[in-house]
Amino acid sequence: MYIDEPVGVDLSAGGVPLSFRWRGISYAIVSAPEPWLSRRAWWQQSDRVTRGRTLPLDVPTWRVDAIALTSGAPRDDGVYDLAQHGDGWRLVGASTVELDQRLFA
Amino acid sequence: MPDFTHLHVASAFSAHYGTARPEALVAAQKAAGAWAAAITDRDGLYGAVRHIRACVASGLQPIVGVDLALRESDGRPAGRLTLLAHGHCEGRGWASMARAITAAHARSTRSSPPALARTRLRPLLRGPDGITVTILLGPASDVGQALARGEAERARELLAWWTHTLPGAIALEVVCHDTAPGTTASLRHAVAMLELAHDTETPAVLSNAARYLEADDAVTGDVLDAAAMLRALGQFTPQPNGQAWLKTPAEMHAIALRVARASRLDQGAAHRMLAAGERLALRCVLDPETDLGWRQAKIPENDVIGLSGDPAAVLRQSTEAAIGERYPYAGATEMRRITERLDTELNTIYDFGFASYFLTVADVSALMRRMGIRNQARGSGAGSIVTYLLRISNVDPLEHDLLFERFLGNKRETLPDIDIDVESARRHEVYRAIFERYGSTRVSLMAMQNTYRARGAARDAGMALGLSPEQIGFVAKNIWRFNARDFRRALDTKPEMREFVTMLEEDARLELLVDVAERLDRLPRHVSMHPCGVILGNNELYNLSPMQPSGMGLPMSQFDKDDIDDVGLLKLDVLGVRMQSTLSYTLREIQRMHGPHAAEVGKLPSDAPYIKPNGLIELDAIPHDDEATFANIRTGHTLGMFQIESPGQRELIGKMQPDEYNDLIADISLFRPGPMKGNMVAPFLDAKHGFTAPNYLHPRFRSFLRDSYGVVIYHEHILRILHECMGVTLAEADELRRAMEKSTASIERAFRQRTAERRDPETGKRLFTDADIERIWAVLKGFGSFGFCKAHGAAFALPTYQSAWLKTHYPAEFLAGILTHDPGMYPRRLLLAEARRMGVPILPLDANLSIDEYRVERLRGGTLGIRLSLRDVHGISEAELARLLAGQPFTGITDLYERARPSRALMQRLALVGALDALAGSPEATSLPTRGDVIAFVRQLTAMRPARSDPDNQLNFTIDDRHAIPRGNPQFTTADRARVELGVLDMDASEHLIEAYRPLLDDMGVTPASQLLALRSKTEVLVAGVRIATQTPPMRSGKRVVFISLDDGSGCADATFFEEAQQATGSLLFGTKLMVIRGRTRRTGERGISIEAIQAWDLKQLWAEFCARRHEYSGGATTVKP
Repeated sequence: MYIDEPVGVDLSAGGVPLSFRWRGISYAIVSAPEPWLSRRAWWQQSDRVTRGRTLPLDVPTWRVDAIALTSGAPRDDGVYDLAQHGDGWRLVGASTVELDQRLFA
Repeated sequence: MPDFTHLHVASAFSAHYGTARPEALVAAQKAAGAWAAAITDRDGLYGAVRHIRACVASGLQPIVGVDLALRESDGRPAGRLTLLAHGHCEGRGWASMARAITAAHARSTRSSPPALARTRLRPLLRGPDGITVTILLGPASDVGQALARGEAERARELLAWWTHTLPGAIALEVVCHDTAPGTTASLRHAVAMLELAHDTETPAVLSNAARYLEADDAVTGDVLDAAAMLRALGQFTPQPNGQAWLKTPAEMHAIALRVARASRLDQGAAHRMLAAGERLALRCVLDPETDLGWRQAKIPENDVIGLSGDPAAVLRQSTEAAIGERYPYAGATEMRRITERLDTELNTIYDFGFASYFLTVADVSALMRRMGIRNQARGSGAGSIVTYLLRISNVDPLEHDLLFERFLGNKRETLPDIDIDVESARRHEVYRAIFERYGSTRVSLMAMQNTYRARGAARDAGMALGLSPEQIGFVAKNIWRFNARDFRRALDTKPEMREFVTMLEEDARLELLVDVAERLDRLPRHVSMHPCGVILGNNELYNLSPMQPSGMGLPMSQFDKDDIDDVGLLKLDVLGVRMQSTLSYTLREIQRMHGPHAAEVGKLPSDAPYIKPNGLIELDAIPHDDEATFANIRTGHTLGMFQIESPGQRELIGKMQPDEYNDLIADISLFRPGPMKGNMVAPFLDAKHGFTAPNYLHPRFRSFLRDSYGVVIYHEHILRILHECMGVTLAEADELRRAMEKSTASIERAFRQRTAERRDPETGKRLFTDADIERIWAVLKGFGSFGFCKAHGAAFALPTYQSAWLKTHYPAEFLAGILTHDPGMYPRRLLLAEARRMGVPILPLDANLSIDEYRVERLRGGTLGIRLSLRDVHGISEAELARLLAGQPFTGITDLYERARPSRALMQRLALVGALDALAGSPEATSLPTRGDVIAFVRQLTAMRPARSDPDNQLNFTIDDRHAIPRGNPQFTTADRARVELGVLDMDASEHLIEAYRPLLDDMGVTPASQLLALRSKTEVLVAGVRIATQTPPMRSGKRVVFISLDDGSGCADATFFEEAQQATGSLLFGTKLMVIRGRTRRTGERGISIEAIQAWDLKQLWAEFCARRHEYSGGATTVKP
């Protein structure tokens, strides 16, 4: 599901995500993160799109499998998309058994 | 640098998809070290010829393919495919591709886009010579889509079908745009494609499915997607990311390695994929010469145009045979000039091998004459005696000193253009006749690429950004002829954009709109039928050009005017010109009304050779020195005269006071950006009026500069000057002239040197002194690149003179023609005012006398009047019109209602406008019913029952319903009449609309347009009226000047808005219809006056304020009570 909330991400020396914190819960990434490119909705976020001086459309994004580390949180595996907007990170998508149940119960 | 050829590239000619022009894409690939470049536009070959041309010019090998949608036989979509034509196979690959595209378009409409039926693939692409195309199945193909859905088995089945159907022609196209894992064009998807190719032993090639040139263009791509979807951004799923740019070979090699590494295959898979791509590229490289017959003429075969024997001999025969007819009075000297000229022209034509081309055009021209359709060649073709003798052109090149070399020089490789004007009302008849004569396999209409300019760009940008229709409408309305790329600059400089600038501060989206609109600048927007282009080819036309349906049902080629030359096709510009219809109509009316008395009525000599005994005037044979016609032109009342009726032209005509045909040619040639900027007008006028002596630059130039009082205006002048000075042939001179158009400096050294070397053969003296050279060069430098082709001007001036001649001698008939065919720039209202001014009565609409044209009627006393036409009654349908005409005459109102069966609304409109008045009055009655009575009766009649539609049940006797018409309803006042005429006919035949504002106008002291001429120069005046024309003509200073013409019923007031007045008027400048203008009069010649505007207002707004003031005043009076 589409989320778009700020997250804190720890990176490896090569710039690959290792773990992240979302809503106070820490998650450990348990598989090799898969890089892909999502995109911006510039018509909502930009004031100007002058030719040749526009922010790139693409947003570097990682798809990761992760589990919650914080005690008490559900221990399900989940699939998460972490997008790197400039310096900050945002969780743009998540799909976990628990989320699915909450959504489709 | 590693090799990588992009095999799947959409240019901007994939409308609403690609963002870069083919030339830019080719240049980028050349810069990246490519050896070949491909173009694969969506749905057609719209950009293919430009692509090949760019490749040839930059030394790259051209590859052409097409990206097509596929459909199942039941119409369901079946993905897309890319079809690449093989090259070096005598055009067989190209022909397969062209025919596949034509098939895909065969049943396309606006709502169902082109798609190729799956069942047609095999018959279309597997010809007797085997398969000559390769099909790329990429991420968007049925195979690719099955893999994206995770249906690996289904994908294998589909691929098996492809390889079975078109063995050897299938390759899988691997695309990795790094979209969300698993989705179309993701890394996983690319891997799945590569693995499927490996498992099935199908070749795989890497592509980037490019749709833009640089990463930055992705934003433009989003906007084009919105325009294609007709939805705002955010209301549909946009492209997943912006990776589809033309990546460098290094980047593409890196992608290949990444895909291979992520697959279960060995690393060699990357190199095998890249090598397969280059092999395929090699196979698809086209040889323009042998695959397309590049720049080789392909015209109808000789037997098709009824030619037997050598075309060159036939051409000589038919031109020589026509000399007697075209030059019946030529003496021996003139005859020698004629035959010498003809010989020169024929020799050039033979050398080029163009004889059958000229015969073809003559054949088309003869075809139109046989149909009785007026036609007239336009453009430089009028400079040829061959076209004159073949009756393609009606301009005698010898009479006007026109040069053949300007039309057909030495260097031409491609077919020259001959443009033919025909009657607009019969244009489609001409097209159909051409299709019939040459066979539908050789003829097609031509495409026209419409590109984004500021207004369209702002509209589509606004829609993409989700602006309201009102906002979009406001922005678009105020954009007046500037390029989208200058949008932001226009905001700073153009007064009518001021309100928009204020809005910018309030709505941030408008900032985006400006940026987005600039991005769309000049991109192709949509393809449509060219308004006049007909393509003639040989029997192979459909193998060369893909065809698609056009608006008028005939097939249209996907090639446009810029493509035709290179593919060697013949383009005929058959342009529908309303003036030709008007001329034709006027001639018919003259013959119908006057028959044998035509000459007498027109105050022409009774033995005039151009008037046949039956009253038919041979308009192309009238003498060109009729003083009455020139006197009429000089009054400045040029309304309706072709090309000289605009406000700017009226001003120029007023100053010039033309008295010969050459003046008209000069007038038309001078009224253009070049001459205006080059200041050719003032010296011309000064010399013509004798204020200065003509300056012929050099005695040797006198003979050919006489026609323009020494001013260098025409290309023909330049040619002769270069010929005299440099001793070059006229054909060489034309090449130099063309070089000068690009850069005057390029010929300077050669000019100076060769002119200085010219010596008199007898005396050995120099022909041109250094001072001469200086003087001549200064003129060439200043004027050389601005000139105008005199042949063009002479052809243009012909309908101008003919219309002026008819208006002078047959005003009623001519105005009836103009009203019927509506050819001018002004509304009918103004033509009616002109009729009133000329004393031609306008006869009211009459259900029994009016027809579907404006007809001339003779009134008692012999005066000729014009009867209004039923066609212009608001809301009348063709069927109603036909029934009214078939039913005439009607015996009464009820009879008309029952037999012609007009709709209730139309019936009431006819009553309102007085068309039924004559049916209501009985001759014996003492008092006629008023308009109010007729309206009341029609209201009763239409309320009672619907109009009868059953002819069998019709009353077989007519009732005299005149006694049934109620009496005592009010008669219409003149003002009432004007009001309903405006509503019903959209023009005021009785009185002008502006009269409704009379109290205000009188209060303000507005001057009627007809009285302006009586005022001194620099008098401050107010004028009011309906805007009839807005022009921003070319100006010498390069600054923008806006001309606005108002009509107030008494005439036409022309106002000029310079910078300050534009500022003062702001958005009203282009935004309002009824205007009041304050300004100072400015005399522009003996009969010319215009107003230099200071400011303008919206009349309606002033009126509202005026009424409010009056109300306040009267209201105030009543409240004052003791």
